[in-house]
Amino acid sequence: MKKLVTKWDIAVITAVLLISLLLFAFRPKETGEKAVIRVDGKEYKTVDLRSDETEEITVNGVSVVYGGGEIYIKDSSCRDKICVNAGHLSKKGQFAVCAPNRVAVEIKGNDKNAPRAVTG
Amino acid sequence: MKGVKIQKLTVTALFTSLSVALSFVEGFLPTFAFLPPGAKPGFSNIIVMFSAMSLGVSQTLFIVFAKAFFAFLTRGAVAGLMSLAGGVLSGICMLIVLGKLKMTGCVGAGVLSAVCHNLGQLLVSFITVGSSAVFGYAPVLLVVSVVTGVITGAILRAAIPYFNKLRGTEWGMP
Amino acid sequence: MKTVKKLLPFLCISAVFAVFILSAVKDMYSEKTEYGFACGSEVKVTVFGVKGGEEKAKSAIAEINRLDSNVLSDTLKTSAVFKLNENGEYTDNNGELVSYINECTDLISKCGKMTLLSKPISDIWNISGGGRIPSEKELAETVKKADMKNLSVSGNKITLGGDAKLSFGAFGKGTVCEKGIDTLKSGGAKGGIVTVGGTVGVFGKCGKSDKVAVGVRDPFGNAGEYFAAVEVSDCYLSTSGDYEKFFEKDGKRYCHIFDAETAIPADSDITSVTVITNGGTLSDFLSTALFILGEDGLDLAKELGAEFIIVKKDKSVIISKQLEKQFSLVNDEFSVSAV
Repeated sequence: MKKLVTKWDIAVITAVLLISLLLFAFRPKETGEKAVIRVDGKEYKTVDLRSDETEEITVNGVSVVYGGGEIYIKDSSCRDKICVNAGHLSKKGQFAVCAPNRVAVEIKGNDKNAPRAVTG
Repeated sequence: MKGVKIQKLTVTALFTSLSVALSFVEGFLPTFAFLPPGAKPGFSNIIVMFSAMSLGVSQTLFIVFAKAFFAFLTRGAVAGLMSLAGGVLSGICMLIVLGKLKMTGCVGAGVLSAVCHNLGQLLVSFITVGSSAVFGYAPVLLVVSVVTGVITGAILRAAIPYFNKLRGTEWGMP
Repeated sequence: MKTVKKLLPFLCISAVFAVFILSAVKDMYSEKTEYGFACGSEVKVTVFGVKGGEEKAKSAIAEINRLDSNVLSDTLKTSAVFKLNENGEYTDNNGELVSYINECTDLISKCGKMTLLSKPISDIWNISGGGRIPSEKELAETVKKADMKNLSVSGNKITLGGDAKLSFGAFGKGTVCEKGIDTLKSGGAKGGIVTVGGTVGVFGKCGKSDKVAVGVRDPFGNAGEYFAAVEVSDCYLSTSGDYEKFFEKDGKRYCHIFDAETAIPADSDITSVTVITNGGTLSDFLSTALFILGEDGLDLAKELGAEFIIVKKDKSVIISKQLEKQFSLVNDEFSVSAV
């Protein structure tokens, strides 16, 4: 029988660890980098939040600003402004909804341990 | 000749039940502190490795199928599918590495077997969950495979003399 | 070559085996989500474990929209409630509105400080339009308008007296949520989650686990942030709080939940109440009732078999004893005690 650890064993282990390290180094970023804007319940646009420059789009009377890692509803034609008061969103799962104008903004996330729904 | 055939059948059955028993008993072990949830040491891989090394192709694949079928019966369709994908992948890999090429020692084989097994399971969970997020788990899984693979490989090396006794001498080389 | 030949039959068998299980598993673990709007909130419907989940989710949203726009809404001109408020009377031919009014009247009789005729109260405070503080005289008049005695139902005929105006504000989201879940159930889904604003309905097997983790909104954080999670199955969760619809004047916060006996916003050391129980209308009602009643309402919750999570302004949290095992704190700025 051969030795407990042969040079092949060491090669295999090194290779696996190296691949693991590479995968880890090039893993997709986890923190909320994408947000989805929904109009009338349908996806209107998915935007990237990572660029440093902010951009603004207006849909159904709601102006949404995104960039620099965050997204927020700057202004809306609605009365109650709950959507504007929702503030700047930057973490996965955060959202702002303008019900009168039927526009919703939500930061995407696929965290396995995150709850499936939020009450409140 | 007939005697050899019967003995082959008995020995295969023996090793099959051994692998099924090992994967069953594994379920009762406390979760290892260094392992992430869901990961298991994979002791039944030891049997598959030995089988690939000294029993033969059909015997090895039979053990893999039996294990998958057992997982299917006791833990449901997804577990069965995961066991099948992981088992076939690591079984074939072992047949090539240990059976054909006789390349690596036990430890390296254990690591490769664990990697293949986990890769198969990851593929199945990718298909059933339908989210590429599962691949974010891959680097962790590879490191875990190294740890569990070294352990199972070392156990295999220690167990080979006993397994050979079980197998008997009339087997001949595959 | 010999090895390859030997391998072939095994590979074929395993391929067939895999395809067979996969096709069964694919539906079992399929999951489709659709969004919509109703009751002044976003609606989210997720369907599990059935072919054509998308269509099933859409039909649940359609049913929620129908119930909202044809029956319960007090702002859409097409609804029965709107017509009732306009004309002071309404003949409800299919009995749908009458049954909801009766259900809510029964619940209100257990609480006292609530009313179905809350529209005059929310109108004088005008919370959604920036808010104003009404005079004593206005408040006294409004309390009279909001008295449940002004609402009478005989057979299919609903009549409003004394300038009363009906609103399902404290019940509607729960009611349509329950309707959405019922639609999914009758559509053959294995599991489903329906969210309408602050109310979440859960049924069946949602994904791999029998239980679903539902976050409880952090009243001090943004929408979508949660301070704790509860593991639940087959139930409804509703949350009422003072953190979303309110206005502030002279450093005092006036929220959108009113005590019907005084027509003044409920004001206590509580900032949010979450209730978990087996009915959508019931959970929506109870979360509002507990928010108004405060800790005096705990007996009512126990009587109706509901679990609760009460968050106070000092970040202390009271949960019901039975909830302890399902409850896990995510944000440890909060302190939890069970009663």
